[in-house]
Amino acid sequence: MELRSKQHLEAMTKQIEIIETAAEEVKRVSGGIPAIDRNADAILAFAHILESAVPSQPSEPSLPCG
Amino acid sequence: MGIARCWNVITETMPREQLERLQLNAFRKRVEWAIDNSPFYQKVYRQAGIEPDDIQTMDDVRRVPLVSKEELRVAQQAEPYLYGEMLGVPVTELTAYHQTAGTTGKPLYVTDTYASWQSMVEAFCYNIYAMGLRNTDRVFVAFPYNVFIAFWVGHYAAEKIGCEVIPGGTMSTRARISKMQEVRATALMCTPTYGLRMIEVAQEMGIDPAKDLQIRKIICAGEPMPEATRLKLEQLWGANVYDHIGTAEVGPWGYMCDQKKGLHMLESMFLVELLDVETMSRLIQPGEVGVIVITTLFPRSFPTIRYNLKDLAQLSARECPCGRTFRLLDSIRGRTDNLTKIKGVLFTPLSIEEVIRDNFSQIAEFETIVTKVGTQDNLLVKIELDPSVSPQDFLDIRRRLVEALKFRTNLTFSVEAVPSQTLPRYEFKSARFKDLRKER
Repeated sequence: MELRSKQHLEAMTKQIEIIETAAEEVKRVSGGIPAIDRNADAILAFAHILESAVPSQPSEPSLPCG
Repeated sequence: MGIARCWNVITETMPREQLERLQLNAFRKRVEWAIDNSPFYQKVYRQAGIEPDDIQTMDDVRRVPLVSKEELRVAQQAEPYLYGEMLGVPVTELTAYHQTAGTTGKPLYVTDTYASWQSMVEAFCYNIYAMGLRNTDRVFVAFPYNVFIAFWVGHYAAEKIGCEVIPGGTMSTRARISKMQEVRATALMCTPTYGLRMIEVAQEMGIDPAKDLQIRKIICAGEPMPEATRLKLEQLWGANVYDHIGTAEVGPWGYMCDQKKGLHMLESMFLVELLDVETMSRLIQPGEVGVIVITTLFPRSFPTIRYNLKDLAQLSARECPCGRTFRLLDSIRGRTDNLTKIKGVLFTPLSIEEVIRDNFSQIAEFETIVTKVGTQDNLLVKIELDPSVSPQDFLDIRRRLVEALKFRTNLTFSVEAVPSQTLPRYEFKSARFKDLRKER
């Protein structure tokens, strides 16, 4: 349960944001080099998956369908 | 050079001195990593007394032993199954399985981790970006998607570049042509042999690929492509046709740029040495033909360090106008394995394809058979002619073909015409040369 504590989730979320910011920054300074931009895009694609894998706020319990 | 023409302008236009430093450092790291992780290389290097710190210059690289496919096959017989002592990572890290085609014996099993597969894909991105593929392209991959690596890596590289990729696996040739037409594919990946086969089938379907399809770039791989074959494909498809070179063991290590004047070696990811055929130690000079020895410089579960490809290539004396600093190969000259002596003359089957594709557009397909009668080697070329060729024209073609083959190879061939569509057609690698002397 320790792993799922609010602090733990927030720490992971922060690190994921750092990855995203760094990838965006690499793209910004690359000057349009495709190898840099597309690999940064790949990092961003995985970072977005990480984002959804580690929701920063504990989700509300879902309601039963119907 | 314009940044728009390079996948990675940083590495592709790097000054040679800097590039060689990068290669030397990466080479030393690979050796160090292999000693620490691969029992096969541990044994080989221990026996040769090689330590990573011994490698300080490019000349030191030449002291590191060569390895061959045969040695890797033996190493694969040990544990852990399937990859044996070659493997440099725990089996739990493996995510990809491929194998060599087995044209020179039992196939070699090749494997990748998720990370090393991404490096393979990156290497192919250099290839296809230089050939002009962009995110505006819809790429049709005419490949069976099986255990052979071939266009698997091409598929993922095209995807990474941003192309839309149409997987043409398990389809008949007719279905593939119809699909290319339906989706208006703009680029195609196939073997050169299959590129020619698709033309035949398209014509049977009443389709002229140059007019009725929108394929404008073709990326070929899988077998050597003589320049005459490339030009024939360009003419019949109405497309730019590019060659690429790679193998399952080392990865996609060479590519044609938009200048189409030879193959650039991808020297930021591979160390390519061209060695003198006789000594296998001297580096050849530009203009000479040598044996290709390759080291994959990026981390791979299946390390290949100074791997003797046994392919022959001619090192170019030219610099490419494209501006890349990666050296050029003028041509691939076939495999040393395929070099065979006929009537005492050293012969490579590729020379027959070069002669036929270069001079005889009326020949649709061909096959060469060597037999032994008594002590005499006999060479026969079976040809399928275009149906429009008259018997008189055949006599003229036969005479000119015998002369051209004699001029090129210094050997005398018999030529026999066979009915249309009777010779084998190939979807992947061709096998147009049959040496029946070995079966005795």
